[in-house]
Amino acid sequence: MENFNTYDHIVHSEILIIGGGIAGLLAAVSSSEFTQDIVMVSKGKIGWSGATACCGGNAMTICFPEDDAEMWMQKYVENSDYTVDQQWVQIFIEQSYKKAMWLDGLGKQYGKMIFPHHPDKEDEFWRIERTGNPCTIFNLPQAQDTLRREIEKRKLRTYERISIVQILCHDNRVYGAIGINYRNGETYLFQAKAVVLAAGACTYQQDLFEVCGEGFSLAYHAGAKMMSFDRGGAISRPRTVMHNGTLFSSTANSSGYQMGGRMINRLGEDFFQNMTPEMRKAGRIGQNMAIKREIEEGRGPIYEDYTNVSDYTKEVMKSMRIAQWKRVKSEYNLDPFTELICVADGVEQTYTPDHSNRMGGVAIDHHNQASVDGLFVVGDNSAPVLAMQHPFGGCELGWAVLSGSLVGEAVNQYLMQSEQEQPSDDWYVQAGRARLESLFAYLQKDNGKKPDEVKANILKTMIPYDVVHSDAEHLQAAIEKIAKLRNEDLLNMKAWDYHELREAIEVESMLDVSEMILRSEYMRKESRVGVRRKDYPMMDNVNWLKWVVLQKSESQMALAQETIPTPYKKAPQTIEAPAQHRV
Amino acid sequence: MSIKGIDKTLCVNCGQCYDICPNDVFAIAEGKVFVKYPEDCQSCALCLLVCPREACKIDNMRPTALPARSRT
Repeated sequence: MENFNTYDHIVHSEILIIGGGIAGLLAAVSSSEFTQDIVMVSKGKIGWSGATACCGGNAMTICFPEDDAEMWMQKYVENSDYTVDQQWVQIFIEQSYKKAMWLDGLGKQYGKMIFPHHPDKEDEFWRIERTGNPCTIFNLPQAQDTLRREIEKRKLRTYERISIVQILCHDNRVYGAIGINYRNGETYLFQAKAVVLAAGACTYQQDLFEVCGEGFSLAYHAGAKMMSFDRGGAISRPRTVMHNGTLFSSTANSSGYQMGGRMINRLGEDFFQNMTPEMRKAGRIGQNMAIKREIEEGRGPIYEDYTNVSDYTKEVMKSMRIAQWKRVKSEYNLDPFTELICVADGVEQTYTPDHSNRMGGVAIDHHNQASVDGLFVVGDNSAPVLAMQHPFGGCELGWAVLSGSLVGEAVNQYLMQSEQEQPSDDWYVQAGRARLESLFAYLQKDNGKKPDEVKANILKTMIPYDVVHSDAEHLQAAIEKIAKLRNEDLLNMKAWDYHELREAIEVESMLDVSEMILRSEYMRKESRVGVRRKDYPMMDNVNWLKWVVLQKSESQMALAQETIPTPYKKAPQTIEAPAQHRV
Repeated sequence: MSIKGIDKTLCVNCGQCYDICPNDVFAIAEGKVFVKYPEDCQSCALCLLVCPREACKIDNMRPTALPARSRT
């Protein structure tokens, strides 16, 4: 495409929601309490793609009225090494139950049980303990089905198979976004007065191939302040097996385990009971050590065992893991509720940057608004204002549901108070021209590297993550490698069709996110919540109770530090080894 | 490889897999559905979920292994 001068499709709305996972679905429905003039756009199939497709947790944090609020504040603050936004914890304490019940009520209209009751107590929600914090069992497929029906009922407009490539801004205010349909190459202009970003995090090709950090990249290039990309840390993932577990994540404290599933060895022993304290503290990495030990000491193979769960639990599990259930039957030709599933392989692990809401994101205020007027961010796309770290669980889904449910009112307040003059048609063409022409240029080259090859080079730089982020020398080397990939591989990349053009956009985003992570970690001269610097091993609450923030400044990434406010729980003024939740 | 293929003895070319796949693994040509980008399959099994004949055959493996862990 040369001399771009017109979009194939122009769509007007008051509110544009980018991303069709659980946070985006909730943002759409909560916004539609105030207006119907809403457009949702998704890279995949709305309600089915992103993290939602492969969600492993199926349990979320909710502060029930009878809970000890102080317990929740302590859990979030201490289990995030004081990096959480304490005001957001307070909002969670005050609002999470109300919003969960609102969602539950929506589901009941359609006969859906979004929050299954406890197996022994029909009038109570099913609450479990996830490595020291309470979680509530949450049926994601039922929630998705409910919200898709609501979107249809409320006549919200939806567009799918579109990669959004730029958020359009002027004078630090949003005016919409542009995208490309990667099945037919058609360009889309979405004019909107407010934009809600719900495009997820960046998964580095672990589990979720679709989620490549485009939501971060879009906000960064729109000039939004980004935050906490030094967070997240390394997460263990099997090198060759897609999921560490077939129906549920085979973690010692996963939803599946807490609901009655087991991981057993050849002798029928639940060997997770024999995990050492160090293994237990190390979450998924620790349990992988336990699995490896069983196999090395001759007690393999390892099995997933769902044969002893109650009939009620079987029905709940099947409805929570509808796709995985079918895959197990197809792949293993067995019934997981009457037969054991052998999962002896997949022990060889590597370390990837942790994904989801834990890893960093767009900085937001307490109404989910970013530093750009009219840009709101929810779910994994936002900064980890309300995230603990592995192995503490349920907070990502908890945040997705809370933020998506709250943002509708915040967007409505913004629209009522803001006056926006609509830019001219010509402005919209000018604003998107450079971006679209540069992307379509990937298609026009005679030759070049395929996007998959460049992605593989990014992965080799960022994985194994525990080496990459270990000290200044390794971090600096990785920063230089990413710069080299940007200056060489990216310039020599060719997309052979529109599918690969989508992948080219993903490559650009992954490069942006990699640089955000590496530079943020390099800045933090201490160790805290996922940053494990060999050269600065202590957690320094005297000098480093700070968030690392970054923003685009004249085409460069400018980093700074902001003091973390601690209005509810003060941090001890110590310099000591961090709690080492993560190995 | 994550998606092993479509069993064409079962497939009725309804296109449900093409419609739902998050990663655009499938394509349709002359009314027939086929696997065009198997390397992008993430084994989410959504295609299998919606397939009326369970014609999609997938397994639990990544299409390519992640880089290995090594300390340097």
